[in-house]
Amino acid sequence: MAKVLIIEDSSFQRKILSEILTESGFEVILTENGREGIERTEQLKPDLIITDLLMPDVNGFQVLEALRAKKLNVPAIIVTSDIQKTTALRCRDLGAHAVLNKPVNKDQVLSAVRDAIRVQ
Amino acid sequence: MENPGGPVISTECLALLDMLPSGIVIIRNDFSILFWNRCLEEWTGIKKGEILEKNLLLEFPTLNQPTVATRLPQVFAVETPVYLSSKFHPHLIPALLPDGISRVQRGAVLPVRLGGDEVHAMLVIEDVTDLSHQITGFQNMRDIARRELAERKKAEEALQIANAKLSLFSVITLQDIRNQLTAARGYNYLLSHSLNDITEIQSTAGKIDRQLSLIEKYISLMLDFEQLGKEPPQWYSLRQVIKQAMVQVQFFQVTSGPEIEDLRIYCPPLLEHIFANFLENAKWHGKTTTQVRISFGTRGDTGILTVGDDGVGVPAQDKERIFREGLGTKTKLTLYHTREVFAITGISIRETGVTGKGARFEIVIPRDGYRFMRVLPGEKPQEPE
Amino acid sequence: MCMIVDDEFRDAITEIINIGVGKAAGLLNEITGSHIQLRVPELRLVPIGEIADVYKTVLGTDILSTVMQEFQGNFSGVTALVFPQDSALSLVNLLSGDQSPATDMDSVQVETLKEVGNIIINAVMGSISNVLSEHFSFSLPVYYEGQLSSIAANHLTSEEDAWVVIARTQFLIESMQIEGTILLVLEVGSMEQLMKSLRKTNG
Repeated sequence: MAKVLIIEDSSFQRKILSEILTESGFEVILTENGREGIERTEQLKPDLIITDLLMPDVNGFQVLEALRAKKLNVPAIIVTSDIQKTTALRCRDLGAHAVLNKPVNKDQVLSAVRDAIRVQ
Repeated sequence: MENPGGPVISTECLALLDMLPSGIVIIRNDFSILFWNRCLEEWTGIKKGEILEKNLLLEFPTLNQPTVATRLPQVFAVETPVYLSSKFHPHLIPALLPDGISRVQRGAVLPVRLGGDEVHAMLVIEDVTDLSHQITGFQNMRDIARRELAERKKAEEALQIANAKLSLFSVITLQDIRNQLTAARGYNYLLSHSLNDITEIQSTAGKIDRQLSLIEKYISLMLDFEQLGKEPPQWYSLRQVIKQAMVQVQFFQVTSGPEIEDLRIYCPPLLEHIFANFLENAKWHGKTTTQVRISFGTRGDTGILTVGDDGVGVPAQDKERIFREGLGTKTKLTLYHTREVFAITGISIRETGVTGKGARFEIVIPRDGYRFMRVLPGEKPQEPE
Repeated sequence: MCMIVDDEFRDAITEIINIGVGKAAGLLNEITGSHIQLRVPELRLVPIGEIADVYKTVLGTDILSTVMQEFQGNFSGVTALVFPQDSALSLVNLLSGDQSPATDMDSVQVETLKEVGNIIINAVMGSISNVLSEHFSFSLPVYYEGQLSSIAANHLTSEEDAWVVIARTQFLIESMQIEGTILLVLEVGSMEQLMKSLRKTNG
């Protein structure tokens, strides 16, 4: 069973993503902020990370930078309310596998997750 | 529960919309045109029969920009109204007034139903040309008033600086007048008490005449300097100043680049004397000078006016010394005065030529001290109109 | 009236408003050609009777520029976008490329602000509509200027039991920081409807 770690400060959004993934047979680990997300990634070595961008303290860009700096070879999908092309470009430059805009739908999420894990 | 969506428009309503003095077009969610009112027919010259069923965004590319086209789907999907200001969308459906001016428009897109559940979008366009022009007019007037106020303030400040410098110039010249008067008195005494020989008498009379001549030139210079304290800085046509300087010095071998033609610089009075001084220096001190070249360029925002000749140039050890007070003849403006006068309006000068290859004066003018124009409103014309 | 407004509800509303602001930033990006840097909005839920105190701390007593749209559906009210007037002027000048400084808004600037307000309000209400599968009808945007106490008293609602959701958002456009506040004024009974709708969506 593939392990997906979610980094998301909104409980509302965590619930949505968690439901989509557990219903499809993924093991889900939930974290509430960037700092905790990076720590749990180092400990648990998930198959994939799904992270929000706009978070207080450590944001999604900083999560991507940390993954790169620590050479944690885990693919990351960004889920964000920021729809600007410049934001998506920046995420990809930092190594994000995919950028999804909120509100996400089930098919979108599952397609991106399966693609990321398959590539990995 | 009743669907709270947009109003249902009956056939009677459509007849009313057809008569309204605003442009009204109703489209389906694929942007095909369902309704085109008489006002739009009049504005565009396009009859209903020609435009119905056509795609609004394809027919009018002004509507096919992101800030309109990406918002229109919201009207159908969520039924939110879309407001389109005249600032971002001045010509929603391009149309001309009878005098040929483009109509300035603002609009709103509203969700409506024409019977049934299908949501359509109604684009209502108002002509705000007069209002827009009035506001632009007021803004321009306000900007002109602000600019004039700023210029007046700048001129007042420059006049204060000029008056401070004026007292400094006056002191120097008054002392020199005193010296000449003392010398003239001395010669006069000789004339009346000691001299017998007619040749000696004539010679001494000549010396007195020369002292008096010098005094006359000092007074003339003082009167010129007085202008500094009385007249505020102005915009001078450089072409005109150069012409006047050439006539004053009777030196006509002066060439200038095409950029000089419309160049104006903001400067205290005495600019003609300053340029006359450049030409005189080139003529007398340049020794082998055959021509003077004047050009203008920019370094970033700063203007660089260059006055150069093909004479012997200024020796390296004299490049700063030539700007010091007391150097050269006291009957005319010197480079010391030039530097001080320029400084009143923030202009600086230095000599950057290669010794042996000619003198080159680099005059550095701040961005708000130069412009390219023929005549400015309110400016004293420096050339006959 | 007694109603428990819990963290889950606050979190859900914040997230929905976030989504709306993100969409609005996308459109403002198209208009300015510049990237819009967003911050996490701060949310407060306040009964309208207590809003006087909040004015002073959150919005101050200066002149405010407000764009608002009424909405009606399963829950109804007014959505308003509030800026300190000098922020509104800076925003309008920045978006329209005007440079001359002004001290108050002329009618063209008011129009421009109305359009910006419409973009943001539509995006936020669109987000609420999408996420909660709710349907509304809306009025066109209107502009008001003045201190918030008078705007609220005259234009937001006259109902004593209304609730206000206040979301303070900040965004940076070309290094200029613009602070706007989104007010969602919910009429009597609408807050409960909104919570019911959220619970239904959240499962």
